[in-house]
Amino acid sequence: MTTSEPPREPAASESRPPGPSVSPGRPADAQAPAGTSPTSPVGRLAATVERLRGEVRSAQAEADGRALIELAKGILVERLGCGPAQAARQLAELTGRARMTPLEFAVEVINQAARDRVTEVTDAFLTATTAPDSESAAVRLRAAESGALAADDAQAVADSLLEHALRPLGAVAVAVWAADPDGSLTLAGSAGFSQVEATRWRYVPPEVDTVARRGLTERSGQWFTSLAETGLPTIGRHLHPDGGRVSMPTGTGGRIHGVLEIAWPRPLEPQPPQVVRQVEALAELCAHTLETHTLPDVLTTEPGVLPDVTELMDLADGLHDPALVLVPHTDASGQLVDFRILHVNTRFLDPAGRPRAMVSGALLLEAYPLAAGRSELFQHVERVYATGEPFRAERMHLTALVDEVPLSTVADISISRHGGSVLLLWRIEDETARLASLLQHAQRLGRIGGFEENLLTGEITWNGQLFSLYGRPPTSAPVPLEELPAHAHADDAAAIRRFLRTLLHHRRPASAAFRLQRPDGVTRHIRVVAEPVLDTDGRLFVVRGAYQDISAQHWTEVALSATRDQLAHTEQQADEHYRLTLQLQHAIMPPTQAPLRMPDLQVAVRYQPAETEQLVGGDWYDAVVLPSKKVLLCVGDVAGHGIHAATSMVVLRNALRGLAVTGAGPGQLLSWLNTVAHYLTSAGTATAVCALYDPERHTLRWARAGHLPPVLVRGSEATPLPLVKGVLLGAFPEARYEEGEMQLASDDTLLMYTDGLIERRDRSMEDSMSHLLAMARNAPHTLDQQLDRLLTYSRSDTDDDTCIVGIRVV
Amino acid sequence: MPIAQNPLSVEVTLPRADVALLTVEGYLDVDTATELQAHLANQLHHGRRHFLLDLSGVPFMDSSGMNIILRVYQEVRDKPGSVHIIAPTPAVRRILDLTGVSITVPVSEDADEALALADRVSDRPEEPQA
Repeated sequence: MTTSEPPREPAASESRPPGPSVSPGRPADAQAPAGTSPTSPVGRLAATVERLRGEVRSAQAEADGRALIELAKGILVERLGCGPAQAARQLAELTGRARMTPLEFAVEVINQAARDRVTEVTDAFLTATTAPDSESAAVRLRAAESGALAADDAQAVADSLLEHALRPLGAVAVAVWAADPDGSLTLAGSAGFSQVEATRWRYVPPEVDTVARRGLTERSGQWFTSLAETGLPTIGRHLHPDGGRVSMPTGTGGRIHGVLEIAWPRPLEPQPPQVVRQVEALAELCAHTLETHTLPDVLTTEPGVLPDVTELMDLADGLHDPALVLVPHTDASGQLVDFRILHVNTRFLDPAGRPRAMVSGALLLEAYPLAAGRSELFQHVERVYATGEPFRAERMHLTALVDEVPLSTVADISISRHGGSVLLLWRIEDETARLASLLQHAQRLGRIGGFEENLLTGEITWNGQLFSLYGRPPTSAPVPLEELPAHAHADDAAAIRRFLRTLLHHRRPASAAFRLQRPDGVTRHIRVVAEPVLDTDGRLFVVRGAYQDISAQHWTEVALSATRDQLAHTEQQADEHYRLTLQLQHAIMPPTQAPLRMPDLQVAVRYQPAETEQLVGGDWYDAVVLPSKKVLLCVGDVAGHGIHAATSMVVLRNALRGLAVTGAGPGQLLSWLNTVAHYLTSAGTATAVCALYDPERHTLRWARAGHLPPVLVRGSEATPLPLVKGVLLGAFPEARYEEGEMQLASDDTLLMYTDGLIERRDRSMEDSMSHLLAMARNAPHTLDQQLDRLLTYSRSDTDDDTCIVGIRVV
Repeated sequence: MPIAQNPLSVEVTLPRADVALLTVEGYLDVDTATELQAHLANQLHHGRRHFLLDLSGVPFMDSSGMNIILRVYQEVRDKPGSVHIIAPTPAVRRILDLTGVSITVPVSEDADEALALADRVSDRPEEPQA
């Protein structure tokens, strides 16, 4: 964007009356419909458009007509009521049809738009100036004007205005107020009021609402029908309490220098436009005087203290927010049409993403055409410049065109006037701000409280989350790290001491977990992490860190550990189960039972439980002397393992003992036992071998139910007894068992055993049996030794439990 | 447990609609018995009454395998149906004799013999021998 100022035609110049200007550039105010006033947004835009027309050539020469194209698009958007993208398409299409370059066509569009406005302005002015008494009004104005221009102070201007222009309108008094940079009003001159009244009202402090102030703040003429109705204080109110008043701001180049206040003795009916125009014109006359008005006393320090633009630019560079230094841009007639962006600071970020150099030096409305739109940014700048009243707003929606798409940005805005310049600051809620906000939310969600503690000053900063973490009101004093132990569970004191020692003594980052005991009685599980910050001398001066509420996590861990406990408990139960099974077996069949004491007969038993817990099975043996003096010998094996097999084993064993008391033979006993197994136990099947030894006759009657036959060791021979018929127990409801009988001789040894003793998968039962027989053959001296040896050298590989019952005839 | 390397293989053929011939290969013990049981249960479900178990490929059988045979025997005896063991290896034959199962569950040389026995059983429910 060029900063050169090519000569141009001001927007309203063609409709300005000849001769000395009494109201430069404002002829349309009186009658033009609202919205077409040059001070309205659209009017501003139009004026800008018109001025730009003068710049087309140079812009063309620089081949930088983008702003014009954008402007044309803006006009199409407005005219066609379409979106920017559609406007861009429309523009391209029309350009093609018109066989012009895009720039030329854009200028054409702008001119077309501008011409309409200019026509309206012209019409309005003609209407005003051709009014019936415009002639006399013009004369009066000339007279007042010549007087005012001749006068060198505001007092003379006031006298001249009242005398020549205002008395004919029925007014009785006039006051000329000067607006001071500090916002106060000074009575620069008056006519029609008493000297005493004028002295009393020589000064109105800032923000005191008076009639004159209304004109200043509203920046347009205020017409009051009756002073009494407004209730506003002002000079000479007691003289004409019901009189009408007018408060007309007066200024040059967009800046208000003062207010012209006119008093009528009676209520003032709405005045015809011609009168309004005259009053406005008179106010303009005062402006030139007031512009040079200097305060009479110590307050005349204004020019000295006000920074010049260079200073303001320095200030802007020192700010951490994007800042623009604006200076008013007037047209040839002195009318404020725009602001030139004189400078942007280093923090400046264009919402449209343009480089700083493109924005710096441009005119505000050119750089930001939409500033005149709904965001009213331009109007605010204009107002601040006019009144000197700073403007601040939070979360103001600014619209910027980014690639022809209007993007709304939320920004905090600050506008202030400094001498002849305006400082515009905006803090866009940009990425950083969003990240900060995100971080805050993350901290809240993560229940993280941040802190910083200055160890030299004792100053502690907590964020809001930390207060709520601690259950303390945000107004309370933060807790210093050193006092942490007092707020923690006593058992965590050691952990916190270690944490503080690492952090403060060793000056290393540290963390600790502890139970925070809040004043409200709630205990929270907290993790604190902190790091030391050393100054240039390596001294520790600040500690910063964060607390995190890990209670939820903690309870998860607790739940997990409870589950683990439960698992351990289950394991323990299983363990107990196993032990119970063992105890059951041991209770029934002690592994090393005291040998049965019988004359002429040795009895020995061995029971070896499976090594693997789950395999504790249902093997059993029994050796008992019956009431008939016969000896019941039995070995059995319930299919399966575990507590069920063990209980079935108990049932079968005790049943057999009970049945044996009847005196029945072993075949019959097993037949009954089969019925018991089939109907009374939960286990599927069992095998057993049952024998009755008659000590008197040394005979052995025996039967087997699916079980391995006993082995007889006689001399150096070991042979299994014949395989008498007998099906395993429990498989069928009824079964009959063949019996065998044999005569035992002295030193004969009979072995009854379960298959845990011989079972091997990798070889046949014959092999296993022959191995057993070979082992049994080499009989040692005692029965006990023999049984031990059998167990020791068993080649079983199934880790099954094993029972052996042995008898030896002596 | 070396047996894990020897998974049981069971092949099912249907000589007739109500007869299932199961050819078993592998060690039939506590680890593999359920496999055979699953096949038997499936065939029972499909209405087979006669089960011919070819155990010529079973070098070893323990009480678990025995129990499977006894269970299917109990299931079919009231239908009436039958269970036949075909060509057991000596070790298995020994177990069958040892446990007395061979007293009740007929042992045949081959499938045809077993089928012929099954036909006879179809007419009159087999009484458990003892």
